[in-house]
Amino acid sequence: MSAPLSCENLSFSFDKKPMLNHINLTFKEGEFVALIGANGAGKSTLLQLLLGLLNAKSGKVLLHGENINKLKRREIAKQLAFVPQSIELPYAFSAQQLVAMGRNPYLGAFELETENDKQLIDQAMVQTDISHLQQRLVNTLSGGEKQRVIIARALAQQSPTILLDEPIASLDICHQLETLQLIKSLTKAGKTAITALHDLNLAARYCDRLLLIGKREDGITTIISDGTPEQVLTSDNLRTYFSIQATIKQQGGKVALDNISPCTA
Amino acid sequence: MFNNSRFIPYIFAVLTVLFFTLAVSALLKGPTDISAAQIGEILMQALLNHENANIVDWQQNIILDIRLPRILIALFSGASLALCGLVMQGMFRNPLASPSVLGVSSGASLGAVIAIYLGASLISAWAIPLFAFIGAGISLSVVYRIASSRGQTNIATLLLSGVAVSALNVAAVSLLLAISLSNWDVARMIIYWTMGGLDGRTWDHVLIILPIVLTGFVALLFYSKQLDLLLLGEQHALSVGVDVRRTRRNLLIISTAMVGASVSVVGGIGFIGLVVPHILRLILGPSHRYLLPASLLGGGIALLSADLFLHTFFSDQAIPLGVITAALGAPFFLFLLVKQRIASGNL
Repeated sequence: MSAPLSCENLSFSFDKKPMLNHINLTFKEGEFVALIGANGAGKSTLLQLLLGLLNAKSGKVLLHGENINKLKRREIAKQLAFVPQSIELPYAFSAQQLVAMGRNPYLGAFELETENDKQLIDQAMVQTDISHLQQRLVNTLSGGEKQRVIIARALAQQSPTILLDEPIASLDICHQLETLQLIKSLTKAGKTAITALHDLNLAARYCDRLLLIGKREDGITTIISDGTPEQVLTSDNLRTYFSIQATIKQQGGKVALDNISPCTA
Repeated sequence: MFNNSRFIPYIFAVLTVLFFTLAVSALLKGPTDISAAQIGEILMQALLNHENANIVDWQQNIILDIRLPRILIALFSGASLALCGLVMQGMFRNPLASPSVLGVSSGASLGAVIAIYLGASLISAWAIPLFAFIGAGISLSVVYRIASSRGQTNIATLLLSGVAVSALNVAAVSLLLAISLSNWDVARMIIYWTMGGLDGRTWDHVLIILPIVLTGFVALLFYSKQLDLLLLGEQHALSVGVDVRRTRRNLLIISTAMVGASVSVVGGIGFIGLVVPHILRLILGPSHRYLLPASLLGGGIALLSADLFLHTFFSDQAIPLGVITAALGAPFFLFLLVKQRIASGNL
C-alpha cells in the first residue's frame, strides 16, 4: 500500500518569485510530523500545496499514489482534513452544525446526516472536549473554543490524514497541551498528522518527525532538515534558521531547548 | 433572534400565508371594483376552461391580463432579487452585498438599453433579457475580480468597485439615451423602459421571469450546503470538499441570469436584495437550506407589498416602485454600514 500522502519534486512560485523548490516528502501512516521554520519560511504554503489549495508550478502531490489534481475535491476531502490558521467565524452557526460540516464529503446535496454520521459528529465533539458547546453559536465562542470546533470538524471528516496550520496558536497552555495530546493519540490509532508549529519544544515533545523549512545559502527555499527532533534541532540549525541560541538538553528521552536567546543579543 | 429549529416551521407558515394573502388582496385591489365572487368565477373559468355566462368580458380582461401578470411579476421579480442578494452575500461573505450595491442591476440595465438602442428588442422579446444577462454578468465579474484576491474579499474594495462600476453603467445608459434622442422612437422606448415598475406588464413578461426564477431557485437549492460552507471562507470550504472555483462560477451564472431577468422586466429596483435576506438571516440563522425558500417567499412579499402600498396610498401619483424600496432600504443599508464599522473598528 502506498503512502497516504507524498509529494514529488514540488515547486511553487508566486508572482514569478520562487517560494518553494524541489520538495520530496513521504508521510507514513501514524506519523506525527511538525513543520517548523521562521515566520514566512513557507510552512503554510507547503500545507496549502499538499492540500491542493494552491497550484504547484511543477511536481505533484500524491494521495495513496493518486495525483491530487486528478481527484475531485470531495474525494480529496475524504482523505485529507485541514485545520486552517484563520478562524474567523462571523456567521451564527451552532458548534454542532459546524462540526457536522465535516461530513459534507460523504453526503449528497439533499442528504441529511445518518445515525452513523451523527455518532461520528458526537464522537469528534467529545474528543475535542466541546460537547457542552453543542448548541452555542460559533460567533459567540472564544478563540480557543472556535479552534477546537474546527479541529472537531476535521475529525468528523474521518480522513486518514489531517493537516493543521498552527492549530494551537490561539489556545491557552492547557488547551495547547490537550490538543497536541489529542492529535498524538489519533496518530497512535493510525492517523497521519502534519502540523505547522512555532513552539519548538512542543514540537520536539509531541512529534516523531520534524521538517525544517528554510532558505538555503544558494537562495532556494526547501526542506533543510528532515528527521527526529534530535537530528533537526541542532545548534547550527537553530542559529541559521531561527536566529536563536539555546542549550539542547535531553529530558525524559526527549529533546528540549533551554536558555533560549536571540543571536543578535 | 429565533435561531432555533423549533420556530422554523411557524416562520415558514407565516411567510406562506403572507405570500398568498398579499397575492389575493392584490387581485382584489384596483381602480375598478370587481367583486371577489366575480374574480373567483373568472379564475375558475380560466383554469378549468368551462363556459360561464356570468362573466363580463372587460372584467375578465382586467383580472387575467392586467392584475394577474402584474402580481406574478411582482412576486417573482422580488423573489429573484432577494435570492440573488442572498447568494451574493453568502459568496462574498458580506452582508452588504446585493445586486444593486454591486452594480449588477445597473449592468443589466445597460445591457437592456443597448438591446433597445441596437434595435434587437424589436426582433425578439428575449433580446432584452439576454443583453441584460450579459451586462449583469460583465459587471459582476469585474467587481468580483477587483475585490477578491486569493479567495479573500475586501469589503471596502468590494463596495467601492461596485459604486464605480455602477456609476459607469449609469453614465453609459445616459449617453445612449442622449445620442438616441435624434431618433425619437428609440429614445421613447429607452425612457419607457428605464422607468421600470409593474405598469403595463403582460404575460410576455411573465413568461420571461417565471421560468428563469423557478429554474434558478431549484438550481440554487442544489447549492445550499456549498453556500453554507462558503460562508466560512474558501479554505474551509475547499477542505471539506467544495470545488470553490466551480461553485462560485455556477452561482454567479445563476444569480446573474436571475438579475438579468428581473431587471429586464421591472427595471432596477434597489435594496430588496439587500434587506430581505438580511432580515431573514436574523430570524432563521445562516443555513441556506431555510434561507433559500424563505427568500423566495420574502422577496415576493416585499415587492408586492411595496406595490400594494403605492396603489393604496398614492394611486393618483405615478411614483416609481424603486422609490419606495429605496426609501425603506437605503436607511437600512446605512444602518448595516454603521453597525459593521462599529463591530470591526473600521471599514
